[in-house]
Amino acid sequence: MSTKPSMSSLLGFILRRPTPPQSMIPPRSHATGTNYDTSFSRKEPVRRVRALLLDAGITPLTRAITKPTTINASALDDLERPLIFVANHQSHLDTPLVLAVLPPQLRHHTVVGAGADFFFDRRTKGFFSSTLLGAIPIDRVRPSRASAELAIQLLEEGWNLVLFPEGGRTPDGLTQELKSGAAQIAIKVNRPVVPLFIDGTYEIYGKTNDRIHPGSTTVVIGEPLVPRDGEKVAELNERITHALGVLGREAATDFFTARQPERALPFPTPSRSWVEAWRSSDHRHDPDSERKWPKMFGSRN
Amino acid sequence: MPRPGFVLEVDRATPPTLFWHGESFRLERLPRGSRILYPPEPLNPITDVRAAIDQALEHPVGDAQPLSSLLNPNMKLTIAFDDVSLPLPQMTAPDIRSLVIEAVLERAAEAGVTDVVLIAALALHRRMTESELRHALGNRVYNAMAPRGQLTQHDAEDKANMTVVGETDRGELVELNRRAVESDLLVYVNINLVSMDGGHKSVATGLAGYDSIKFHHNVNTMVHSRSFMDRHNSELHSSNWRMGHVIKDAGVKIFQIETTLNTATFPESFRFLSKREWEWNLRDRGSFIAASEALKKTPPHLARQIFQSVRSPYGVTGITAGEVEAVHEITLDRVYQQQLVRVDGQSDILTLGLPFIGPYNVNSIMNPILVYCLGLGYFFNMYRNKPLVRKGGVVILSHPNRPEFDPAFHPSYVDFFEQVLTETTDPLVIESKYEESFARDPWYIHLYRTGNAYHGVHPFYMWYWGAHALDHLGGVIVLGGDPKTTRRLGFQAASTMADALEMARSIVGPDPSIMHLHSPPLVMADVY
Repeated sequence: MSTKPSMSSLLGFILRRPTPPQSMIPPRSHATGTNYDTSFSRKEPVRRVRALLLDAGITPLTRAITKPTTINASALDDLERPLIFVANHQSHLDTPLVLAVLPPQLRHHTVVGAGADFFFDRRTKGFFSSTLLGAIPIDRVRPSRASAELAIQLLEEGWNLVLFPEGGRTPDGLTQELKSGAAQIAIKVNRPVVPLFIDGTYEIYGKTNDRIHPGSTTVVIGEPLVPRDGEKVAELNERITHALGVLGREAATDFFTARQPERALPFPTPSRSWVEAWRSSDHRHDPDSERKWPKMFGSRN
Repeated sequence: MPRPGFVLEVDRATPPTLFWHGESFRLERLPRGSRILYPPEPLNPITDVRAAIDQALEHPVGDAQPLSSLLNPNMKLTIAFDDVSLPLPQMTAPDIRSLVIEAVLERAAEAGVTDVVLIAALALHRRMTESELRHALGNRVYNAMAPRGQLTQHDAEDKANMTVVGETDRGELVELNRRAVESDLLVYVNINLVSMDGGHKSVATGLAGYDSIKFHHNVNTMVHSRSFMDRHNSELHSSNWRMGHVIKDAGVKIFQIETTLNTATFPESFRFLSKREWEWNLRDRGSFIAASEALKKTPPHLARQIFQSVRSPYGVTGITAGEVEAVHEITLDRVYQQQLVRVDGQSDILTLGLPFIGPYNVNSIMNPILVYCLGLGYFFNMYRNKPLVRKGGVVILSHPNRPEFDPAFHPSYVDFFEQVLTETTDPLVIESKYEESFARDPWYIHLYRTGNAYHGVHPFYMWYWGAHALDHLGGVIVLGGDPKTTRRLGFQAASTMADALEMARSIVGPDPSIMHLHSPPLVMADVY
């Protein structure tokens, strides 16, 4: 039998309006989902306000919650805009975390691909997502020309783009198969793809967590992957997948061990069995669940 | 304008789906890609029901004269009506039967008919209680007829008052209530809640005895009724239609009055039950949590009482009177218009939430045999063309399935559960080995005739009702069901939907297609 629900979950159920199935989104919501117009959020005044909010609020807060260790941060130093950042996706914290580890000159000119069905299903959600994080709606259910065209247009205008090609947060901490949209866009605009591996946000606020458990994270920044002449989408996607695999191992071990061929594990894990989850949890960041304040009797220290 | 029913494909944004779970509810998140069959919204009801009744009685369909022209002072008039098994739950007063019967009696009084008798067409069901009769007929009718002995209940075991009308060309005996047969006019007042009801079945089953009913209430007939909700492909109905022709040929004059209801099943306080989950507003969500949390803490007998006191605000969508077959075709169209939804393709797994009520536990307990009958008899058969689940597929029923029985209403069910199901669950073996002894048992007959007990053979019919499903399915899982009781029925119990689906996968294979029949209200699938 199901466990007894808490009072807060019951209250949450009552207060939270249920989301309609995607096929049932009423016609009045023409201006939601992929049709939500985010152009206002890239206008100069809004961009400046966002930069201020990011630098003064969101980034410090994210750093406080996730305590990120950035590996190979110098790889970003000499890169020129626009860039496509692709990262694995463990948590809703990934977006502010990626923005937090980017140097300010990149961070302030970055848009983030966000699930149109989740972040743009209501106009208020779309407004806050695009104003605070520079989110743009991406249709992750079916390939969408509108989403791809918007991303390409923004890259051509000089905006950096953050994408999570798994298409959604990992349900179990393991990286899922990458969708090819990022590779496709990179080839279209012929701009480098910078792979980022995020490790630790799953434990802090993964899909199965109902609240944030502050802890520590590692962000490994890879070398940019420039599309080669005549390279096919599948080939570039394969290179991105491989690069993320190496970075993932680097997050768990070190630079050299990660690149030794015998250590090469299949990535993404095809079986997704508990064994994989068990192995990859070996190095996982333990969330610090100890209450910081107020101290209770029996608290450590 | 009420919206039609449709099939929803579950995606990541789809909120959890409401399942009935006996006298409570479950919210279950079905796997992505599952399909949910949502019923059409209730059709707009007739605003002036009395005028519609008058119109129907005076302008009958088929080969029939207006009712008033059929009445004369010296005639013997019998009015038979559907019993407490319809509608479900009972409708808010006035019950449509009371309005129709009042209109019929009004005309009979005007014509000076003195010999009028009302018969509750029980077949082998239990006798109705006084309060149930008062509710169905209204106080005016009850007070006028009952004290004079003009309100009776059909007694299939009163051999002196049964008569053999004839036999069909297939040797099926037609034995009916003597008063009904010997009347100059038999008016039958029905409620067609689902497409199974009505037509020749009203008289040929409702006023018949065991020796007649056994010709169509048997395993062979039920397995060949695909489904018994589809009159034209139902062996159950074919048999009743043959009997209907015998009755007609014997000169029994029937004036059939059929009524249809919309699916406005629950009052305002349970409004969330009839709404699509993503349309639940603050009040619906609050009522759901209040109701489900309160029900968790309520003892089962109290929860049962609360639910059994629900009265449905059904609206009347049609009244048709006249010749049986002509009337019934119009009625069926109306029922389908309200309930039928097209579905493309069968599924590997069908999930069903079973409510607190079925036709045979009004004001009583839904015992395990009735759970079985409601799930595999009624809900499984809510289809036309093909079942919603493929041959060899799995049905998951959500119900607590507790081993509780009502000893007054269902005495033979207790013995059926303890003596028959412990030996076998095979309908054919049950039929050949045990049916006769239960049907002829003098104690059960005594309780049926004098108390409020279902006939001794009734649990057998419940078991046959699911015979088509048993024949068709590869497995049945009862979600949240009492394990021991569920095993007695020959099924498996699962405590969570995830477990149930995992168990189902071991039968139908990995990555199954899943269909959920969303109820309430009633919905019927037209499967292509």
